Amino acid sequence: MEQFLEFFVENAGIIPALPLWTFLIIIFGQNLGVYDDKRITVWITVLSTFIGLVWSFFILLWTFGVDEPFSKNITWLNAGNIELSVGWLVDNLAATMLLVVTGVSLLIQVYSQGYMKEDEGYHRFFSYLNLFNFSMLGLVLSSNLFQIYIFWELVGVSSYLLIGFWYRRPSAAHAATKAFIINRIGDFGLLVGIIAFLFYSLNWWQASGNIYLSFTTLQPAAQYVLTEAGTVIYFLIALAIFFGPIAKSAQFPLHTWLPDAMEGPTPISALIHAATMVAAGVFLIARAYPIFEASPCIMTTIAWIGAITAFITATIAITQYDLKKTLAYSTCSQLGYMVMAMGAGAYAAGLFHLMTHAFFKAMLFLCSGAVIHGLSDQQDMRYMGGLRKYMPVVAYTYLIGCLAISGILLSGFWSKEAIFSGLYGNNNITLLTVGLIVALMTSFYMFRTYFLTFEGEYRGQAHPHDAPKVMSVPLILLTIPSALIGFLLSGALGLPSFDEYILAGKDLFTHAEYHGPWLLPVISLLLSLAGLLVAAFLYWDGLKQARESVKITADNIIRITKPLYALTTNLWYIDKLYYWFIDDIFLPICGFIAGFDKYIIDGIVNLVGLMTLVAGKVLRLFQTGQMQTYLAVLFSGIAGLTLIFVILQWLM
Amino acid sequence: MSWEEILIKIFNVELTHYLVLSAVLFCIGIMGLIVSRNVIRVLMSIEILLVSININFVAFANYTDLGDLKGQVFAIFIMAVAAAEAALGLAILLALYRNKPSVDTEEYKELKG
Repeated sequence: MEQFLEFFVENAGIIPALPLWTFLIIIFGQNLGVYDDKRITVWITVLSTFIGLVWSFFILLWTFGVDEPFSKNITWLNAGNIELSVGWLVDNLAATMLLVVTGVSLLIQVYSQGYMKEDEGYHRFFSYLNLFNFSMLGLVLSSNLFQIYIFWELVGVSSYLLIGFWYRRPSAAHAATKAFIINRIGDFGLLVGIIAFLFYSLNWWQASGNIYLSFTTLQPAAQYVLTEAGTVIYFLIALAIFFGPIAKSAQFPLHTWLPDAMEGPTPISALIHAATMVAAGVFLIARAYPIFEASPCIMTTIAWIGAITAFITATIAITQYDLKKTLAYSTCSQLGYMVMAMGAGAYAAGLFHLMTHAFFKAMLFLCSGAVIHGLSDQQDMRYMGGLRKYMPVVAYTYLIGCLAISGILLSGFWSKEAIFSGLYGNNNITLLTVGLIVALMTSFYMFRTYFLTFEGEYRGQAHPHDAPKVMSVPLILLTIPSALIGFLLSGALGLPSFDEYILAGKDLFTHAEYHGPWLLPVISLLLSLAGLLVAAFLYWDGLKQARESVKITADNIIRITKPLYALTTNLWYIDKLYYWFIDDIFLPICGFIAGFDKYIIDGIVNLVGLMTLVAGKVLRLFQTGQMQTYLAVLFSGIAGLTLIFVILQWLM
Repeated sequence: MSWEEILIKIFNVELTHYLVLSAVLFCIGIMGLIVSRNVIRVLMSIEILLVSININFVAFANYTDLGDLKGQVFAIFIMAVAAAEAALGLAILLALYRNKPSVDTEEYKELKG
């Protein structure tokens, strides 16, 4: 049995390789016209992901039996002192992520079969999906910082391709460009950080003989860099590395790309922009945790960035009317939770929330996709309502998702509770307060979307129809982990708890997995319930008379809190600030520099050209073509020179 | 002064005299080159230039390099080359004349930029 499992771990590279092959098969099969059957595309895609899922499952089984992570590397680049490798590292974290990514991917691929059935870019969609799977699984299995950077860029590319999937729509093309550019900012920081880290730790890697930048030996390397570079430089290096997660995980101030990314097809929003890719930032923080925890300053920065993101995006989510955008802001907010937990030292809690969030957020997005599909591409919640009658399966799964994300007893409750107790254990009372307030808001805006979409009377024009089986079955399957995974892995049932599993073999400095007082989960639960009740009071039709009798309706509240409302509907003016900065400051400077280049630099070059041209034109006049003239000039020149020579001789 | 002395004075030709003759011929040649528009005349002027140079060579050879005959050999060479040049020049001229029925150098300026 041991050897049987070992086989899977030693050949873990097959998991990312399968989608890559599928990607190539679809691309070449389509472009060379080998086949044209949609069923072949979807079957090979689903099959490759399914094999990956089974493979990951065996890898997970293997991790229970061993303490040491497995790593296999080959040298790839050998440049002077630097020797960079690629390979794979299988530990508890990688095994968990593999299972989450392949599991969610598989269900979403089945769902996409139904969602994209009519689309002309069907094969292209599935090929991009495979490319994304390859990059994401490669990222999860990466054994060193250098390799993770490669896959980091690859997920960025596939995300770009999929956001701009409907590239004929200007808004989609714009959103794809925006996502790509904002991610470039983060990637640049990450690259600078990695290079700076390598620069300072080069001697250490050489002396120790380890794989360069390997995650398994990052802790002593970070200590070496800390003594070598000093606290301030070290903080800057870690901050540069943290720029990667800021952009990829949509943290403040680079979160603005994620809501725009909803222009892509909804299965993509579910897979990439909710469950997996955006979690890659949190995954990177977890992987590079030794780097961050060596500097308390950067940990505080991370925690506060997470808290600010969670708060700002939650307030924006409250006032959105677009169903998918609300979910997108909610994703930002939940990612903020994870980053905050990471920064506050609640390492396992952050990853736990990552995992539960992947399931319930994927499910919520798939539900919203089913709604949008059923209403012929209507995304505005003001034109929905009463959809529970038309699509009951979607409504009930969505309700389960809402309960899970709001932290009302389902999986979100357990992971959020872990974060709160971690914050409490680290005496971060300010962050804990922010977290609790955000929990209240989360519950409010999620149930607001539920009541606006599924309850009351239908307010739109389209004819709602229920989701086909191929779409509703993945939804139903996703409810199981969404509802239960938190409870199952909390350690309450005697099963191995997630905390112990993920921390096994880890030697962390800032270990903050405390169990807070029993009051804490009760408070968070009560706050979530309060959010639910407020949402129900304001938006549920059953309480219409009650709220009109006391004159507290949503419209009234909007009227009273006009400035605040304007602030959140304008997205805290962050986007406007960026556009103002780019349009009014950055582009004029660029224009000035471009003008300098165009008129001064190019002017000098053109002037030289013009001078030779004019000189040629003038000299041309002397070439009369008359032999006599030439001869006269020639001989008078000789005569003149002779004369000068003679005079000089005479003068000497 | 006796007749003998006068004759010696007259016929005692020195190097300078040859050089003056050569320079005069050279100037005549150049003058002919510059002022004549007829191509035949131009060719003739070139011959005069060559002749003046030949005189130069032979004169120097006779006065400074006795018994070695280098200058004389060079003069023979130049004559041969001049003959060849005259033949070639006339051939080119004929070819030119077939394309453009004129011997005026002013007419030959197709290559002007």
